[in-house]
Amino acid sequence: MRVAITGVGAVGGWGRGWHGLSALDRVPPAVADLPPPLDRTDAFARRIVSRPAIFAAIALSDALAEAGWAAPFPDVGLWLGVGASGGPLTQMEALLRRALDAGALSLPALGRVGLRAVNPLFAFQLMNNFTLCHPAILHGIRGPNAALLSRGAGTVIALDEARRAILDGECTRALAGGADSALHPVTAAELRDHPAPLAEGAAILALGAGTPLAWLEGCHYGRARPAPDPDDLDLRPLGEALAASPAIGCAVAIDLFRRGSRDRARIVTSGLDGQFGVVHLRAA
Amino acid sequence: MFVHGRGAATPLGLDWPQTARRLADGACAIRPIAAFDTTGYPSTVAAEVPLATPGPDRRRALGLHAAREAWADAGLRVDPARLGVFVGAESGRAPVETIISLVQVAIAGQGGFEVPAEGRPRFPEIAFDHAAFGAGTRALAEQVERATVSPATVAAAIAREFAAEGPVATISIACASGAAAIVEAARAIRLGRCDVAICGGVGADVDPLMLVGFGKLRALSARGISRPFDLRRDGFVVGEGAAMVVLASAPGPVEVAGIARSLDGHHLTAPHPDGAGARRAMAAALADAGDPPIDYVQAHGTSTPLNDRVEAQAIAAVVGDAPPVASVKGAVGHWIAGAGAIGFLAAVHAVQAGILLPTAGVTAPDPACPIRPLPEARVASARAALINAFAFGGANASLVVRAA
Repeated sequence: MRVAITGVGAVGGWGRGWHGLSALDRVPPAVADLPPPLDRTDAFARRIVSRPAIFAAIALSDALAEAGWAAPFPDVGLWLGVGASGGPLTQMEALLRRALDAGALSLPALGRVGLRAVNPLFAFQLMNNFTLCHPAILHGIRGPNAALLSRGAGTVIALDEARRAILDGECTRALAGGADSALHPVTAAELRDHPAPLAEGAAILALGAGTPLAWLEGCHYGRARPAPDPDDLDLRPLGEALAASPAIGCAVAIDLFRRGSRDRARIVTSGLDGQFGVVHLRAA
Repeated sequence: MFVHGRGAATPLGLDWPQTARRLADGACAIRPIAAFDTTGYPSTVAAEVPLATPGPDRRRALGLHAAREAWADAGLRVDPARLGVFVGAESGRAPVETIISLVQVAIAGQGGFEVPAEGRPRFPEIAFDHAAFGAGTRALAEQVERATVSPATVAAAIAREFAAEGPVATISIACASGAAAIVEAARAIRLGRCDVAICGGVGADVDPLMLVGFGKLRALSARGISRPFDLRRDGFVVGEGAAMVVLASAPGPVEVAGIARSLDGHHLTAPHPDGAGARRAMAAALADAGDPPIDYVQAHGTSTPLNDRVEAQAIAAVVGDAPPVASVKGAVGHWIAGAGAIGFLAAVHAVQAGILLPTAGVTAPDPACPIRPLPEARVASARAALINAFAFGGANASLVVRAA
């Protein structure tokens, strides 16, 4: 059973948007200039919300616009693959600077004055759910949801959950994709030998209502590696954006459909934590 | 979907039967934090699991401990391809020791500092050099890997240990993660993705960074007391632990009858003032279960002034004021990602054992909370029980369990 993809939003080192994404053979790793996700909370959001959450807000906003869905969204579902990059190092640095006491790192000093150095939502920057909740708050999305973490394959589960929820009647419309950044120093250290350049971004698909751009035909995931296919494109030059990568792969495939160079695609991902995932798409 | 096995590693016991007995006795595990010097912190108490865990990834060790008990309790045999693992876990930070080492890289050209075998690492006056930091992190890769910054390693470790080859997922929606993981597992069984699932949640946030973060939010109890729905509640107390269950499609004594999730879509830190998202999650879970009579509610009940009032009003609106309402957070603190999972075990206990576990710390119920908090354990046969877990950011999960 297939579900219509009626809108796509994507942001990454190439900028904002997805048309032409399949023609790129490499992109800058980082989003150099973040476009504003929405007007009313821009300054606040930039100050306190993690970069993946802002990417998610941008991609979700564009997916909604392309699908032509108008607010309110009380029953729209939202499933995202999210990452685990942790708090921004600027915040960590500020906190640890305050934790120096006579040249020594002092945990009591960290507790006593360190908290004055960090922003009010520091705890949430350490957690992952705001990648999901921030765009939901911005757009008033209130349906069934989950933020799934396996830094790659979790995004495939997110797409599958959204598709299943529509097919089961849990919701009639859903947004699904992934947002992440591999450019956090801790993550960069962990991925030191990764074969692809590290990157960041988000891509979100609007599913279930509107004029189809493509069809989401199915998703599979598990601990068994899918067999390679001679027609597989290598998307590694676009960079390893962890939870965002499978969703960006979907955007690349839909762009290939748009250009008429493919009518079917499978997006294969290998999660860092031992999970594999496959997304099957077909041109509309 | 039926509950076949239960396991826990909690501040009140290293297995579920011991934890349940002590919860029923009204025990409270909140104590001065032993893990590090908390002088000057916004809170100096927590509920810590009395278990020394190997290595830097306490989450993984606690999760595995609980999963082993749940799996043994279930006594099931299953095709590995039909076994799934769903874990609620949060927070991608590295342990504070790793953060310190990373900062060491940033100041390496300026004399650096040494981490002595005992005592505190010594810093010189530093200028944080981001370029050096970026270049130097590669050298720390091995250490970072040992520290396992990803919460997904919990589910991966459980899958490895039990040879699960079915769906494996980590759900990260803050305080609702554990309950949402059980929802996901139940959905996977319902949809035929697997026949058996190990699921639950784990939190290990008795940590300097998290205490600072929650302190900054002014979410922690200044008095150091967790008393959900009490007139004097002033915030939550951090706890840690893991709770796991084994769900299966094969009949068992307790059925997971209703599951639902919703988003407030309202505010970064505050619940919707009418509890609209919470109401929708509860109502949808009840509808999914066929609207059974609810005899016990295991609430999210964090002990924060606003959240408890909004949740209590939402409970009263959806299920009425008759069923007793409890929150284990009065006894074991707030496990963040693990919170909904230990609440789920308490609700299953009400249905299966006929013991309604209480809310420790409630002596003066808040009249603004139009519910019946349960201050002491009660022996009563609960036909069905409702579980709530609500997260910062407005993600909500509710479940209904009932006697099969």
